[in-house]
Amino acid sequence: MIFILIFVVGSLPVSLSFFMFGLYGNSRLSRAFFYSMCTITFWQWDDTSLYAATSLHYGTVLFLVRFFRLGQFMSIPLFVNLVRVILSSDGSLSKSFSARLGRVVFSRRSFIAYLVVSLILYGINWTPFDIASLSLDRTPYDFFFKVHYGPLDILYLFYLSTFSFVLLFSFIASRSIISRDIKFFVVTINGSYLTLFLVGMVSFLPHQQYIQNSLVTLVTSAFIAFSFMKMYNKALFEHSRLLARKSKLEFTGNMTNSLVHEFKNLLTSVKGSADVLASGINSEALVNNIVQGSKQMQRLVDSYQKFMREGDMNPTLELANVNSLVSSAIEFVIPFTDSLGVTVYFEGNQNIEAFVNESMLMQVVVNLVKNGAEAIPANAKVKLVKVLLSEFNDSFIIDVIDSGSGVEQSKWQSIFQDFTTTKATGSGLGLPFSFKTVVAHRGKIGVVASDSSGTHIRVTVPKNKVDHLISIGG
Amino acid sequence: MANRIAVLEDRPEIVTLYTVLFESFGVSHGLNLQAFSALEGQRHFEVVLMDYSIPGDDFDTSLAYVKAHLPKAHRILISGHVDTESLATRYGQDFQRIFAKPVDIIELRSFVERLMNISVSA
Repeated sequence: MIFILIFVVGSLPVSLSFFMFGLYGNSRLSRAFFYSMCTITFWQWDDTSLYAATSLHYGTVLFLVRFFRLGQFMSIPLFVNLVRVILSSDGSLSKSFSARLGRVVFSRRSFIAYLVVSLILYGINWTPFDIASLSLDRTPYDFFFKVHYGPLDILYLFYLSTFSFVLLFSFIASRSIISRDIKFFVVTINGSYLTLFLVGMVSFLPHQQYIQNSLVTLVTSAFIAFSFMKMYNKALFEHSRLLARKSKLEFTGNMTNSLVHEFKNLLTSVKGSADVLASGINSEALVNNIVQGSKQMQRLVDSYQKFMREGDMNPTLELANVNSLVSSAIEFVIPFTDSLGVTVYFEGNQNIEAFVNESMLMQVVVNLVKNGAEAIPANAKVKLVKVLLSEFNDSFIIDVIDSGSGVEQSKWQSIFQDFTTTKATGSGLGLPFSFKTVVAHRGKIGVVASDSSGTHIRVTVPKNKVDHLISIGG
Repeated sequence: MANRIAVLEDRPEIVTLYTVLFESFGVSHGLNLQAFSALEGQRHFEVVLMDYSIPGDDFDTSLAYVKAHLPKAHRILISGHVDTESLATRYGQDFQRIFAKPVDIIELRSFVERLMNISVSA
């Protein structure tokens, strides 16, 4: 039953790489890694077939041995392909010798050349010129088939020996890799393949060789998988950091654009009024334009400075009862909504506790309720803002639903990122502040629905503060 | 005497400015397309000043309305848009001139006066 042990251990590389698919998705690198790991598994299953001497017929074993030798033949092109994908993802444009060597040896052309040679030799493998026959032999514990090679097997041995050069070139090429984690992965797979290759080549000489093979497969698979995960996690982390930076830049860009637009309007009024007055036309209305416009510009500058100061992107998060927080925010805003004749209805959940910045999140609720109340026309039949607090999985949800006149769908996103106001005295920063605060809490804010009967805005915030745990590690 | 200039602009303070500036010609205005389309007897307007971005209005719709209902009026676009050049490329054919905010109000007045003279002589 030794062959079952070898089969299980041999399945490890392909299982691990399949696991990577689940973890990281179907990327170009995941695929290249999977194909490469398949060759190791097939190589091991090739050995497995030989040890199934007492369980399978001679013909079946001969078929399986020839079939699974695909792993040995394809190991070089698929290794070349894996390194090629890694080198291309590193983006190194160095003119050093190692970088140029890497670009030549691990090019698409090399991959195709190796693939063609491998397929030709694999075809010969199915003839008696490569594997002539099998003969029954035994270890101290079990029987196994010994392979008798034909005259053309020398081609296979010669071809496989070039693998050592490929590994050497790969090692040299890895010196030009910029990323430390990618370099570590390439060096690891180099070392692992070299070990597997050497152990595989001397297989069957001592009778305990299968134990050695299995052990090496076990250890190298673990090493390869670990370095792959380390490299991929780092890449994902960098990618998410890049996205966050991009989103921050977009946010700042949108804010700046909309602020510039607002200032252009105010300047048109103030400067235009001053120019007209200077031309000799007297008008009380234009003097008022200048006074009010200047005040509004001052208000905008103050609000923007306050927004930049208060919108801390790394707020201190502390455990708080979210129900009390929302309830306090509503109490605070009630005098304002009452002045507009708007009723605020709150449906809470006493048990929700989460790590939040209380004062910042309270301000978000205040902003959303105020905004909702202001969106309701004075002559509306129903003047209501509903605030619903609930939880879903590891997050809590605050829904704010008003009976206002709605927001055009094209503006569902931009209202949180643009400086927008239709009110002469508004700062126009309430929703951008809410957006910034919710993002700082690693949450989401958005319009769920909006039409002429009202707008539904949803805030979703994680209850834990797991990113702090990550930042300790980083 | 009927007002000769129509303004489609959402900012009341800018409307006030135009009203004083073009007092001698007479100004009618709408703060959005709905209000603008309610202006009485539109065909007599000789110049239309249009703002590019009016909350709740689609500019292309507003432009199509003005072209259809005031076909003989001279159109002037006044924009606070960040990229005025792209507006000029897209709408250059539709307007006598495009002014970027903050507008040089004296230049705007001269331009409108020139248009009015042309309009009167025509």
